[in-house]
Amino acid sequence: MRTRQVLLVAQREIRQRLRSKAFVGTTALLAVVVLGAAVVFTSGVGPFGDQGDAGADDEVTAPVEVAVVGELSEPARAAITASAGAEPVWLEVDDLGAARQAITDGAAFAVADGGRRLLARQPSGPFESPVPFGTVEALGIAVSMEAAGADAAEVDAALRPVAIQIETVQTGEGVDAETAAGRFAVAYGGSFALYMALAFFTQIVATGVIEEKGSRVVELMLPAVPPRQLLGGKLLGLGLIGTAQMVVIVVPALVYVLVRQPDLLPPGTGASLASVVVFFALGFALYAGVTGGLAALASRVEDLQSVIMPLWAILIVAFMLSFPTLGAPDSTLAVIATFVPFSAPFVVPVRLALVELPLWQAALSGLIVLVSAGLLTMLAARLYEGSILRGGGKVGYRAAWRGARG
Amino acid sequence: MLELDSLRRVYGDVVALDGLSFAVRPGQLCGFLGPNGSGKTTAMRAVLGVTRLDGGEVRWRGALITAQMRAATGYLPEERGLYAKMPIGEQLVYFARLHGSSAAAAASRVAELLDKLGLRDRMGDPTEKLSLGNQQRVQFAAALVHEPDLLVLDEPFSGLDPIAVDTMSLLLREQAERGAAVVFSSHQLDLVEDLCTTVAIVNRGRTVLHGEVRALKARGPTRLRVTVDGDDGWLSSIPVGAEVIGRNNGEVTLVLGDDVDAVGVLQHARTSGVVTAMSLEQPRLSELFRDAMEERA
Ligand SMILES: Nc1ncnc2c1ncn2[C@@H]1O[C@H](COP(=O)(O)OP(=O)(O)O)[C@@H](O)[C@H]1O
Ligand SMILES: [Mg+2]
Repeated sequence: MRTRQVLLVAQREIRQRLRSKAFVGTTALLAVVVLGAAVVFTSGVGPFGDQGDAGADDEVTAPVEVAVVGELSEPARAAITASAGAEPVWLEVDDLGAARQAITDGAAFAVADGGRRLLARQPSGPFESPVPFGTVEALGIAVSMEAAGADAAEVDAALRPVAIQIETVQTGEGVDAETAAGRFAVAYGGSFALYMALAFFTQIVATGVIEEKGSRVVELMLPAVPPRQLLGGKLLGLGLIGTAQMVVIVVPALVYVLVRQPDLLPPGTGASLASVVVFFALGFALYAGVTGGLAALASRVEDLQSVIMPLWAILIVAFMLSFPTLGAPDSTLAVIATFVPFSAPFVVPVRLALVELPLWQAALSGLIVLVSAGLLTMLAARLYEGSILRGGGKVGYRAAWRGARG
Repeated sequence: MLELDSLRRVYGDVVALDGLSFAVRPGQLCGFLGPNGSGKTTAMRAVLGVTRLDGGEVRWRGALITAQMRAATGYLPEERGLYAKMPIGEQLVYFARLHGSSAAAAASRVAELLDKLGLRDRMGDPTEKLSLGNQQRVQFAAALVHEPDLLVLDEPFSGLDPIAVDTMSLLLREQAERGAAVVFSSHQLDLVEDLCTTVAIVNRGRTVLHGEVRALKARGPTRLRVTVDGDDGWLSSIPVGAEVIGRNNGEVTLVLGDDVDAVGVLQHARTSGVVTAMSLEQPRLSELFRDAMEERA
């Protein structure tokens, strides 16, 4: 019934977005940025290329100074040299106080007690090690080998790196190590894009509702289009244009990667990107429907923030749940979040990207979101109906609930 | 025929509609009059189903008005509202289509209406770029764009300049001639008197006077205006049933009761001097309105 009106309302929303230079411009810009990221990604630089070498080169050229307090044997010196990659400048100092001063003046670290004690500079960040990577292990081996009677040459030989080949056994659990980088890129990018898109489009729904209410144009519309159809058409139109926007942003980059380096994409990338689009549509139905109902409670744009707040809090918490899922995609939390309607849109694409999520789980999750979206939107439509014609301040939940057709 | 039958609506302790009734036939232009707060807007919103009723019913062609009929009705709400950023031409086509017009019919009708309103070259401009008067014209056009059988307009003339009033009056007349039932509220009594075939006057949510303008005026008490070159001693002995309601530069206006003979009153006037001017007139609508309000008070 009244499909014609719903479609007309949806069509107007779509046209209005397409006419907006800001909307079209932002979409084009985002598509270019994502495409640019894909170009960088496939060219092997950036966070997913092998960045290790670049860092190591810098360290070799820097002159490393190591302060030595008292005696330090040749085997211990050989160990430090081996882990630093080159012989450091040895600063022989008298006591720990002088060692401290040497570090303040630029020495990398100080060795005392014949190699059993290190005094290091405070690391520059929370994840940095105070001494160069491997120094502690190498020194430990040198000290115990020396105690067993080994000389410097033997220690040096023992510490010479031999290339070790690592292979993994597929247990079916956790993230496949070979494709992990690609999978994390897809998962992280997907959930972030989803969050941005949902936040953006629910905001558009909210401002659209309040504009129609504030400008009183609803009173002209309502006799021809009942409240539910008006809200439904708006959601349909914005949902379609939002989904189209996601496709426009993601597809050029995807096609580029597929053409340039098809094996770079981890298996299932297509499925997880498709799930991002599907769960955008579902998440939009869930969040935007409720947003529409809540927004009608406000009468002015200034009141909007306070009526929408509870829902936004849920949206943000749900998005945050995708972080623990990124870390442990098979954890109990991740599994529960898959079947909670509010968090499912964020968690399912992440899990699909990272691990082999059984299809039935994704489908069931989608169904749960869809049914909840339907029920919540019906409740929201009643709030909308009861408050869309009431001006002059915020309408309470109860008044709106009771006052359909006030 | 549109019938408002014993409409009742209560807001808290305010009785907005208290048994209000009147009817408008197809082809009729009905002026809906009443002081502020008398329930006009509430009654019109009830016709459109935008507000609910506590009692009474609205009928169209003898049956309860349906959602379909409401969707096909042309409506100009008291609180104006258009999409600020949407081009007016596109906007009017949108409203026409929402009300059931086909795309082609909507487009040609919009072009024709904007032409008549002198806004043809503004078609691509968004509402917010138009002057308030022009926005009002667009709002007016939004009510008639789908050629409705029923038109309900809440104070369509308020805030318009005389030229716009003429244009819109003409458009409304065309609608009635086409066979639409038109009802509009207004405080411009002289305009209503010229434009409308019928009026409904309400006060405190009740109809106090309803009928054809011509019949109401004919039924109302006659006015006699007399100018006498002399003193006004004659006024002390005018017949019972005649009452002086105004004096202006020697011209005296009297209201004559049903059984008072105007010639008898003139005879009296001649006793004081020469009658230099005289006229016998039907009451103005504004006078009927004032009388109706006083009876109620
Ligand atoms: N939404 C409302 N809530 C409370 N009172 C209202 C509302 N709408 C109208 N009223 C009251 O109903 C009465 C009739 O108002 P209204 O129909 O707007 O009159 P009019 O249009 O003739 O000026 C007024 O006393 C007004 O205050
Ligand atoms: Mg009013």
